[in-house]
Amino acid sequence: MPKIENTTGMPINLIIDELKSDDIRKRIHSVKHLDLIASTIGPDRTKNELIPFIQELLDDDDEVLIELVDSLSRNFVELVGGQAQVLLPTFEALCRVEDASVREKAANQIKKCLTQLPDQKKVEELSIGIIKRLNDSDYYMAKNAVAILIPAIFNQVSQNNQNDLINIILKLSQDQIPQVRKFTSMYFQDLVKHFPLINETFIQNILNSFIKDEQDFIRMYIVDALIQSSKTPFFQKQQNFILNMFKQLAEDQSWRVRFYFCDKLAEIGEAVTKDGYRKNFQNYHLKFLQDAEPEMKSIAALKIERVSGLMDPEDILNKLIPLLKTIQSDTNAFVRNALASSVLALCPIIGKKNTSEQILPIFLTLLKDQDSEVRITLFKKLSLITNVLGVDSLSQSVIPALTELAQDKNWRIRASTIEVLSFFARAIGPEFLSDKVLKLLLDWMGDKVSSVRQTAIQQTAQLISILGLAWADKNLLTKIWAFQSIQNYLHRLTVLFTINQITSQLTNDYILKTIVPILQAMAKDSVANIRSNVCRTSIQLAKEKGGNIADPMKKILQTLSDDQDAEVKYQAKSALESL
Amino acid sequence: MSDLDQWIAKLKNCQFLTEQEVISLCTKAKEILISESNVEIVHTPVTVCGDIHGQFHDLIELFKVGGDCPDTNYLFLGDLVDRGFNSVETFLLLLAFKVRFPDRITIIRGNHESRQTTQVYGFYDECQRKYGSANIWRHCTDVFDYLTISAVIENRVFCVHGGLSPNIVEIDDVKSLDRKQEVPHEGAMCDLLWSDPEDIIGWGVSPRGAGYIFGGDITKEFNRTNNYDFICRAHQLVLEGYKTMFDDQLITVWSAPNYCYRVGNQASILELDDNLEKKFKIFLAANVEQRGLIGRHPVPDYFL
Repeated sequence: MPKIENTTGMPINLIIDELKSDDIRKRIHSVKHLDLIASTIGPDRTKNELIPFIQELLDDDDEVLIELVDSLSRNFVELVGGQAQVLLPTFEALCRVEDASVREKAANQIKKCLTQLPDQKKVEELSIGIIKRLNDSDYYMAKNAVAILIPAIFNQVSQNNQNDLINIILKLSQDQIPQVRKFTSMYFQDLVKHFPLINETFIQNILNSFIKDEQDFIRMYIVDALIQSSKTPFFQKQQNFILNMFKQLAEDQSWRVRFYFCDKLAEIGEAVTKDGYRKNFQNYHLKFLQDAEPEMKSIAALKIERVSGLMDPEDILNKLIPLLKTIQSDTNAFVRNALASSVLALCPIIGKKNTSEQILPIFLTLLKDQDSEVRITLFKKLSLITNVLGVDSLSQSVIPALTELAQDKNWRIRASTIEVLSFFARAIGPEFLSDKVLKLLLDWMGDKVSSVRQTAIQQTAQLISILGLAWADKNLLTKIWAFQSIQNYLHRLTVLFTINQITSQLTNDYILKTIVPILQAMAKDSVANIRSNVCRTSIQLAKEKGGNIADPMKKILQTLSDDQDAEVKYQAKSALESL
Repeated sequence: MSDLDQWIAKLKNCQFLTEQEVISLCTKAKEILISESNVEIVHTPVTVCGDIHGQFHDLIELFKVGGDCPDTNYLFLGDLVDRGFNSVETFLLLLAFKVRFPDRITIIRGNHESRQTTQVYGFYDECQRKYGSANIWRHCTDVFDYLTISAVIENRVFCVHGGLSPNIVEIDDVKSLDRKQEVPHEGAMCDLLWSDPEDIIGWGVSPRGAGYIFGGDITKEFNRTNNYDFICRAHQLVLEGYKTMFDDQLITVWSAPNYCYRVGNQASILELDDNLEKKFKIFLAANVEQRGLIGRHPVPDYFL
């Protein structure tokens, strides 16, 4: 591996020293550059000196440990000459710390190191050793890594060891500390993949004990284990068991479990196939849409997009859509927002006639929602309905909604609405950009918030690239150039910013005829900021267009190089020099 | 020039400069500030901003509303540091703008631009945390001594951080002060940075323990004597972002939204166009997404 270059500006010895500095920032800096140190001193010294040295750092602050585990995750196997097992003790120690992200990363690094060892027997010996030591640790958090590692090596160890590991999992699943049971539940999905090496009875026993657990965050993860087991032959043998347990989770008292179940509906559907989904779970989804808990309605609404592919179009029409009519007027904005983001996915499935009769009314209601976020979310999915119904029919209803959003109090909403314009311009063409719509665009160009004006300018450039310069000049640009005479300098600047943005779309003729006079006039503006920007625009035009544009630009810059304002003078002079 | 542009780019990303770069920036800044008058002359058009208090991401929000420097001219009324999490980046960015575009931005000293105050309200601690020593703080507080203490826009608007002083009747009284020192505990310079307007007649004792409170009669007298349309100042939190008093003869502008990340107030900037027409622009605090990731530890497991 090529040597790492020292770009820190510090000698290696100093970086090494600072590993033990009192100042935590210096320790972090050195730890970040462990790979540099290792690369410099070579694999032997790294193995024999650096790694043992690092052991002493393990008592350090969480901040340092987070950096340490990240640092060691980068190429360190190469840096110790390919001998991955040298790193194992350090990672094992990092599996015992308080910070969860450090423990998880360390455990995953152990997994990675083990895959790089060629000798199977060695892998077995080392991994069993690590697992047993962590399991016997006084500190209960160490069992986190045990739950991660056992599934990773289960199929690589002897029958005897497998039995030992099974017993460890059994014990962990019944540990009195809920945290430990949680780790076991979370990673059980990885263990079930090893069926039939782990047998049916064991899986059923563990799942049965979890489902009776009083903690909802332990019951929750059964969903993942069931999904994974459905992908193994276990599903064929124990279909009823799996389906029944899914149903228990769907009806769980705690909404967090129901929420987690609903969140994974699409994956569940894939695992049990369409028929299985329709027969067993479709009703739950429909029930969730009417749940008392708004979080449930929200996640159920969000999932419409993905589960609609699993449903029969008849069911969508007769059972799903009627429920949506209540949701579109739910009191909670985030529920309506979730609906807005996924309802339009139904259009391509149910066809044009049904979309027009059933979805269009919902669409129009959400379009007028009092919460601007909901309306924006709807706009982002617009193409799904326009592809089915055609853009023309929609543009009439959309314009009033656009107009309202264009005047929203929140400037970010105004800015997002502007982007919808080019969508319609692209789809319909210039007919969409009627007087009303053009007026909106001009209002945005004159918005009181600078960011909105910037977005409007960018949209103008987009429109020109879609509809052409001739159209733009006739309908839009002349009105923008008129901003030159606005009293407020910030709005006069819009003229120059627009020219900057559309330079590539302007022809040299147009520039000579229209732009040059504008620049000449604005070069005499009483406000220095305007004249500064005239310099910027002139140099940009000269450089990008060249040819017969360069000369008039030079002339303008020459007059400005005598300006009374220091900044204008400097800009004009350096622009001329660069030409 | 390119050094400065690099520093500005870094600071805009909320990355702080190296110690060397800060010292260099402070030296350059002093060269420019030293030649400013106690009553700096500012021309329209200009946008006036109140306290920022280290709320860097809200300053970025301010620029999104008011326009970037140097396309928009700015006048900051002080109190750039203390209380917020990013006093260092805030102060250095504005200082870098000042050095790069001296005619496009003016910075006035606030009562928090002082050695005493910054040791109590956060700037000193932030420098220690970010640089490991007090050097940066020392260099920045040296720059504070050079900041001007007032400005006048087109001879018609008097701008100061706090308010008026019984020792200042005519504007020349300000010019004759020696400002290049730590903010004193009393006297004219102290009053200008600490006083507050109040619905009283004449002068009163300030509950802040420095400066005075002064009424509408004092304000109108001062404006009449010096031919000013109104006084523009900051220093006091205003929930709606700005407040006018005494028949529009005094305006308070406050530019730190959701002050201390919990008051929930609006902020504002005052745009004065080419003809001194006034326009207030209100803005709110930047969202969590705009603030970016402040290095946080994941929630400890026992809270699940």
